[in-house]
Amino acid sequence: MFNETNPYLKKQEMLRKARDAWAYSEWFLNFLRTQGAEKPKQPNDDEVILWHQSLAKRNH
Amino acid sequence: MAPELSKTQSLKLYEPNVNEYGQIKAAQTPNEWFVQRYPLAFNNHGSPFLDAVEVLDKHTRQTFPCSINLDFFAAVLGGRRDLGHHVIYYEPEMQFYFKDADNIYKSTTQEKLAIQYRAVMMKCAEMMPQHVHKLNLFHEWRSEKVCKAILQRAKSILAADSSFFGVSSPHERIAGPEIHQRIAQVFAQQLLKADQNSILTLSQAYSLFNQFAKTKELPVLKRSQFKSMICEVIKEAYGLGVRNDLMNTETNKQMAGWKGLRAVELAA
Repeated sequence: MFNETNPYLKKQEMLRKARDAWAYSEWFLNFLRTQGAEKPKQPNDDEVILWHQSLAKRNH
Repeated sequence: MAPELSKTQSLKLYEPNVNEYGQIKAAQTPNEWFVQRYPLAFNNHGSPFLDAVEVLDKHTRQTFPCSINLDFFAAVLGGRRDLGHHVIYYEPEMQFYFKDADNIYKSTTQEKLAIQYRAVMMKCAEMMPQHVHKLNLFHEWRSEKVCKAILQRAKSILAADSSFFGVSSPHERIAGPEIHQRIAQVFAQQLLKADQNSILTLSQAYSLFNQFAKTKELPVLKRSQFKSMICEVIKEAYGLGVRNDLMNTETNKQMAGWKGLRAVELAA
């Protein structure tokens, strides 16, 4: 409940979820990539939240 | 007389584990772990494992995953849709492709998929609590034999036909032949124009196309490949067939090309 009313904590929670999802996704995809293949650059906080939100939108 | 079965209630498929508020609890068994991550595979193929469950006391249940659902794991190789993953088996080339983070499909090998499957199974084993027997998760179902069986099934569960990377398909892959065909369609629409009094020779079109392809950072096509591709595209766009009897007035030689078509000059 506290997280839902505190914008800072809310963003931190969103960021944690997005970073977890990104890390798992990259872990998964790296098994399929070849050595030397170009990997996506590590997204910054806003980019990773945006990526996670776009996935959530598409899944609904 | 049918044999009398005992303790059939101890063999269990996946059942959602919810708390008093109806929320799904953190995974306590391999079945829960996989279904929470791959709900689509569960909807299509059912429970990942058959568990033998032994109730030790009021609070403790020992779980021994004793049989694996190969179809579920073939679908798992297709990736997690919630994370935007997608793996297909492209039948025309007998090749697996995966959608990378840039949304472009790239080819991958069966060996890599097998390694990925073993890693996912290991991750599950590592995250299981004490009361889950891990022998099959760690050893038996990570064997070459099981991997081969799963990959074999994945070929049909993840099968995609030629339309998946077809010219009008939204799916893009790295350096596939249809990329040239897509560019050829754009080339025909933007750089060619119907004109009854004009002639476009194959050589002119080839040279123009290669210039155009270069601007898109695509490799140069062989003339023979270009000919078969562009004939089809022009036929479709302008209804004109290639002719081999067009006379070049300067050299007095017959040439291949199209009557009623001309190249448009692009603004610099």
